[in-house]
Amino acid sequence: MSRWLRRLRILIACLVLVGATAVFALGGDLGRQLAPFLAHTQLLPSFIRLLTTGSAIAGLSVLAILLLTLLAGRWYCACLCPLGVLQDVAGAFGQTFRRLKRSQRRKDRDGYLRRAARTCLLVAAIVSGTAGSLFLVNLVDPYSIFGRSATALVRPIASLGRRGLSTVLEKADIFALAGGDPIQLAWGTVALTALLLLVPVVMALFRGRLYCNSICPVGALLATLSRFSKARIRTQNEACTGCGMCVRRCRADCIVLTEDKKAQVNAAECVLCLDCVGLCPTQALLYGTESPSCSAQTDGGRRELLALGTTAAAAIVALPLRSLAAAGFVPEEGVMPIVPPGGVSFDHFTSACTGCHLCVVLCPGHVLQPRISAHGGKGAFQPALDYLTGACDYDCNLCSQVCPSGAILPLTLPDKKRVQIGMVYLHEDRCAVYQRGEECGACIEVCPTHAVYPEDRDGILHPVTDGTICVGCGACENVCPQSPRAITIEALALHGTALDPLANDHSAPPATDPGLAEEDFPF
Amino acid sequence: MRRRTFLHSTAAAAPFLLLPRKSAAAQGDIPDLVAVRDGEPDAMFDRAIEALGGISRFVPKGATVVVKPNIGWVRPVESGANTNPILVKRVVEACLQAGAKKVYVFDHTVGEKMKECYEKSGIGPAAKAAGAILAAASNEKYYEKKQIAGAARLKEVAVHELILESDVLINIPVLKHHGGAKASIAMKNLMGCIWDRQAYHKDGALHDSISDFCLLRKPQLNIVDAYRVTMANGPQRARPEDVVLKKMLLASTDIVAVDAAAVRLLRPESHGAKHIALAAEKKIGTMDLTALDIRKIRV
Repeated sequence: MSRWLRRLRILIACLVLVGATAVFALGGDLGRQLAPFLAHTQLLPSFIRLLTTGSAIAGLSVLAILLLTLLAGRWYCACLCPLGVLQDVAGAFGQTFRRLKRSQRRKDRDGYLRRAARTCLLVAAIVSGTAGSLFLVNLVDPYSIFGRSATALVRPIASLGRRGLSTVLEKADIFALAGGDPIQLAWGTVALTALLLLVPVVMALFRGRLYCNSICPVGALLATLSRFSKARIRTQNEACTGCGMCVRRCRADCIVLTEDKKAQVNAAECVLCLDCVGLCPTQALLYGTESPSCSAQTDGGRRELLALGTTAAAAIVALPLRSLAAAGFVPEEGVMPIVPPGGVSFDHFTSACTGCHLCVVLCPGHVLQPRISAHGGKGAFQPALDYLTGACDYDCNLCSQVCPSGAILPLTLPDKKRVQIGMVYLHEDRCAVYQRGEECGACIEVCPTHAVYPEDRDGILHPVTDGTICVGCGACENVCPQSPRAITIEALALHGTALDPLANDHSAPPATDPGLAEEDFPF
Repeated sequence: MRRRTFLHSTAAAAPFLLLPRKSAAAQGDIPDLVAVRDGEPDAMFDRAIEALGGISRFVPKGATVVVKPNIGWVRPVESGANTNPILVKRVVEACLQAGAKKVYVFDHTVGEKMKECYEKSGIGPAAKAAGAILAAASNEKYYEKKQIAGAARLKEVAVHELILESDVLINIPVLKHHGGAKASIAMKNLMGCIWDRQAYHKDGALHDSISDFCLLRKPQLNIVDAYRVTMANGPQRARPEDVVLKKMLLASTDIVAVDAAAVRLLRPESHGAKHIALAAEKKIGTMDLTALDIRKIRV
């Protein structure tokens, strides 16, 4: 059965890796359809979503993952975590280059170090996250690292490929792949993302799943649970010859030989690749709930229980810090990033966004752009709306539908159309119409709510604004031909509600029809 | 080989295609402008093109044709923001029936939402069903810089390669009030043939730029869709009460004449749209309707 489980693990892992890469690198309709499957199976975003929204789906997926781990071990790490699978790929590469060099490895040389590191990081992540800063969480969350990396590193390549293919097809008048695809490479983001990805990848090249057992907070939490798992890899002592093959192969460094030369698997750190089960020449290792003569595990569960307790205590201690952090961090006016509709407020958005960049990839208007530290101490790599690259489509609520962590709460389209994420500001001193009496009208024609509307002054149409029906979509700022822009959107720290644009229209009274009355042609 | 060179070599094999065909108009009783009312878009087009001497007067056998509707906005048919898909379909069918080799349909949509615009407007499916090639315009690579001789403001413009390569350009705008340009008709519709829309708006050159473009490329035929007309709050997201079912269609080879006539269907505040007068000054066409032979048809 273990062999079948191993094959199943590999199959699911491949699906997850390919699917997750497709979502972030290709985006589009395919990404949109696959995104929910990915989002609902990721622990950290679902956990944050559960805390911020009380979402039932998020609650169910968190509960399912935790229960699965408690009963059957770290299957999540084995095949549901895309970064974990990516590390397996990197590890396989590493192993082909250094064939069995691991035979020299001393046993469990740094188990304590790993345990200490992951516990400290988990506590630090929980404390800072509870206190209202996701900066650390965003740097170490495996799902978000994967999402960002695929977005910054694979997506541009996929886009180039698509563009090349499209150019070939267009010669035959096939325009099916054509698109604007203005992927703006922010080199700072690309470089930092690559650097952060190097940590797990380099670790995996040399030491397999070292990241999962020494840095990853999700791994740390699941390690604590899987220590108690019923189903695990157990050794049949009478069959084990103490050859040590499993010790050398183990990608998680979690198998040791006991003093009486019997292999022993540490269930906390085991990521259930099940390689050892297939490898063992005497089939002494089996995955299952019980084994008649398995060797007792030496390190007790107390340490894990202690870690769990510390974590819970830390979270409770950090709770009062939250209001302190929220009050203490007020971004400067003018530089405050604009939060997407559904983000509720700067505080809500930054307290829940893990920076996975799923919204960045799927945003059809290319207005959501990654930022490194624009949100100050509140979070790293969180996105913001950039009206120089696009505008927030009035008829679109996609980001609010796909956000896995509840940073962007679900909004129906009618609701979204009334959310004010920013406020229009017309700089008459920069506007060509006001300054030089020149006709432009760029902002007027694109405004979806007529919050920017024309006023005829001596035959010239002047743009005039009405903040009560402005939703802050940035269409006007995006098209303004002046530099710097003569019409801009200022972020609202707390989103507002716009008045009904149809009922509050400033334009001329309802159209009377000069042509129909005559029943003829007006010329 | 770039597509342009390929097309040029093909075109070189049939140079007669590019000859102007004014003789028919000069000979008989073909009017300067046709105005049709009270019919469906396709039926009105059939009557108009018949009055103008038939589609083959404009589309020779083997010609490549660009049919340029307004597909600028991600808005449905009822909004009046885009050209009526039924009209687009009929025009494409007529061109293919006349023996056109290829009929391209495209628009450089506002805000680079090509796919969404093509789909939501209904024009994408309609044009494809009629046999047209739905071309892309959302990437700078399709555009070629051209100098415009005699232009007042738009001295240089990046034009879609299909506009430069095709033998025939049929312009099918939708008639709309426009908050920026006062009226959006045939000349304004050609803004969807260029790459940098912001350049038109810059430095108050809007009306001059709109008319200047016609010095570079004048459509052989302009068909104004006035079936569903935006009377106020144009060019997009007019209130339902601003969109009036006029059931009219205007057609002319003279882009200025058709604009001058169509603007009269709008409310008085649109009548002063400056690009029409500027185009007449630049001798692109005639805006004096009294000097024109206008055929008025009721379906």
